[in-house]
Amino acid sequence: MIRLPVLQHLTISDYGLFPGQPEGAGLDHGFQAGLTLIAGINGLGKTTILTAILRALTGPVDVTGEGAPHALGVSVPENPVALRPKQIAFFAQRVADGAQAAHVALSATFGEHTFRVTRRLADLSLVECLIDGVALPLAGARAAREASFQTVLADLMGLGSFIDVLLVLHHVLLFHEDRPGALWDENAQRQVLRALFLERDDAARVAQLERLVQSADSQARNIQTRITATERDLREARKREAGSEGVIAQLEAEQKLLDAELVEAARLDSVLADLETERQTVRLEHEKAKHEREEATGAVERLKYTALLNLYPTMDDAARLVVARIMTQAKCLVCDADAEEKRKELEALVEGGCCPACGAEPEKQERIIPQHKFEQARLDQARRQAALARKEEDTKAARLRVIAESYAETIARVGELRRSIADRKARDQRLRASLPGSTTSDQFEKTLVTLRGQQLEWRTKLADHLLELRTLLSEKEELVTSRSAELMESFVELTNALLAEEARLVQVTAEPRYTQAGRAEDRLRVPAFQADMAAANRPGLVRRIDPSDVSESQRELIDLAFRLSLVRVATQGAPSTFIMETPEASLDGLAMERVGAALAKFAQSSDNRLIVTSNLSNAGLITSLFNGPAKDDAEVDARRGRLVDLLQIAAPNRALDRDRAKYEQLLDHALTGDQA
Amino acid sequence: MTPLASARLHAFAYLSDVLSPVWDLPAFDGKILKIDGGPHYPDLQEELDHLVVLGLVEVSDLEYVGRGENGARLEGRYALSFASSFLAPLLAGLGAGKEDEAIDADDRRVHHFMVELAGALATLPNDEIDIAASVDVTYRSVNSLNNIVDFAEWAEDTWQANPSWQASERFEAFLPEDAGLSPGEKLYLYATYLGRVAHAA
Repeated sequence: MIRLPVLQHLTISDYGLFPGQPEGAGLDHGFQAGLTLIAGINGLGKTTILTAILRALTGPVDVTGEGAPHALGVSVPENPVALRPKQIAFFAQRVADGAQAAHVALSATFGEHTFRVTRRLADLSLVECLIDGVALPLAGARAAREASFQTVLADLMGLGSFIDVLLVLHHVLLFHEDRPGALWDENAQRQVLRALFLERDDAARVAQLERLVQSADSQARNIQTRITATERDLREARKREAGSEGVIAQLEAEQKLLDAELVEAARLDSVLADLETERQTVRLEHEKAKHEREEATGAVERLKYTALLNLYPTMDDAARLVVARIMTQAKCLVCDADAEEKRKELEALVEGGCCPACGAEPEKQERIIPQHKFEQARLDQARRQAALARKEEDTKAARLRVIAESYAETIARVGELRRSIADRKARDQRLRASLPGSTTSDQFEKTLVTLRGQQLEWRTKLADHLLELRTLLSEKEELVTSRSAELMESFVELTNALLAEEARLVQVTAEPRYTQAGRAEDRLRVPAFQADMAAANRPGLVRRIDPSDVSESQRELIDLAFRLSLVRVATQGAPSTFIMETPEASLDGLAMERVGAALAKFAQSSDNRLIVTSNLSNAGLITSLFNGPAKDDAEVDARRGRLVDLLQIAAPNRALDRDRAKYEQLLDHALTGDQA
Repeated sequence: MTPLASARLHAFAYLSDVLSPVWDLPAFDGKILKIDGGPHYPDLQEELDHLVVLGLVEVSDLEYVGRGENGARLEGRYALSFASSFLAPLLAGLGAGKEDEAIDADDRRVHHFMVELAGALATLPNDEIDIAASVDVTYRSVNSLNNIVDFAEWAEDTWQANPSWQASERFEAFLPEDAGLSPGEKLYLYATYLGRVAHAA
């Protein structure tokens, strides 16, 4: 069972950046259920508070020495990595006294358990850790104390390792301004799904197997480098041996050709992998476009058909369909010919109330109903959509043809190259066999045999680890896929609230590249998620795989919806904390209100804690986060109770000294919702 | 013959594709886009509209059903138009009549397969037939809507990519060693399985 931290209390004492109100009180804030707003202009320490919360939980370690990487590798380290001195000195370097006396204390609950940690800000060292009110024994060297702390925190959260704690903090709970993604980074997403949805032991074993696979691949490649060098030495040695110049020259020439072909084969493999990804995407878009086209033209046809039905209720179904199809698609259902002229003619006839079959004018007709006007506005809109869908279908069909051609050509070229490489290797063997031996060359031969044996051992290990990983993942896949419906449902609900555009979460299959060569037999398939989203000037929902496929704000909001969905599903509705830094950075005014209201809804459900920082650049967001304007003074007071007011607590910078009254007024307006 | 509703026709098209390897036939279309409402082929629908206009197929209860926010899809009930003088020779050419009238021997096999599959599905109650394709094990192997189910187009290993085929073949494992199942019996057993899953759904 995953238990995410529900923050209760934060104090930062004796730290020059936060002298407090009255001076010397420091920062002391109790988190209530719902929203906590950390408000202050730039430079007053909003990021510092969030980093203090993060480092209280992580201590002086992280996924890398620099902190959370922007993109995760295919596997994660077994143990957390010590932060580099510059990262450790984050708090010390911001104040004159090096934060010598400064401490951070953070309290939280994890399910039924209470937790409190105190660290020195100067070096992030652990001072005290209480679990359910009992102090954790902290004996031994600093690393050992941290290791005990890390085990306890992973246990509290129900995660397989402290690395998984770090992944969940960075990729799920903390939405930092430089935000490593949860949805967009394929590796991060896979690691988070592993950490949250696999059982603890399995999650740890999968991470370990991923490392073992990568390590075996790396060893095999290192040995290959030595094999190549030894082969070169062997050629040189043989060249020095009398009577073999002709064969040696031939061997060298062959080797150059072989090397060139191996390079080309590797390049083509990569081209093929890219083409495979693209053709999968384009095929999906083409199939979707076919349905969009059918449904969009269906909408136009429905309007025409309904009008014809009203006009000529006794007309035969099939005849009506022929007329409606010509009027919709300018295409004859009888002979498939282009029927633009006929379409114009029919449109003119029907528009004038004339019979589309015989052209009879209204006054000469019998068995008709005169109310036949099309709903022109709806028709125009439906027509535009249908034209767009047809264009999309044609474009994708053309693209698919081009890719299919390139794919077939590349496959054929790869086949030729593989045959040629095999031939060259056989020729190489024959030429080598014809060479006379010597002590030196024999020695190199022996070394080569040893190296090839070692390489085979590593390749066997690689295959064994891959097999275990593949078996374990396929056995446990159900644990992720069984939650996908909940994830998708939550994502749609959240994106409906957060975004103007319609969006959906789709479960797909990812093939992480555990080995550098990325050979087909090294690949395995794992469940993953991608977003489909509406786009201007394209029909239907379009798959967005790369973050550059969407705008900056869409990228962040889609990621936010995915993270919040992960929180909901992983905790099964139990409370959690979600921390978001300056959401106003990439949002326009209207989006701000939408996002504010959606976050407020999350904050109010299930005893959640939502911590948001704001630089006061948009008062509307703050008001929206508090559910609109305050009704009375009591409500304004209640809002102040949820505020970490850096205008009062932080050491003022020049901007605050100069314009304090204005900034305080800005914050007041934001809290009351009085925008005047 | 009772006319078939569009949805059932498309479901039948899908099941015939996914079960075609049981009959050692290639799939007409080795993939399908999984969408809301079950299997549907826009291209097939267009061909069907042609057949209506050519007089080979009769349509009744034609209506446009709303799809999504702004879309609509044509739905109706379709039946072969036995009044058409073209139908009988056409069906004979496809192998529906005497064996020697089939233009291509493979068409006769396709026809035989279709008849067996239709017979197998006809053993299910109407409401179970309607959801049989949606509960098909290959169709369900892709979790989300708006994704391609590829069982024979680009799939490298069509056996692995087609759990419906695997399931149909697996029934034989429960028989005594000297007994076997004909392809037709495999279809009937798989249809029975689909009926049970549909009933439980």
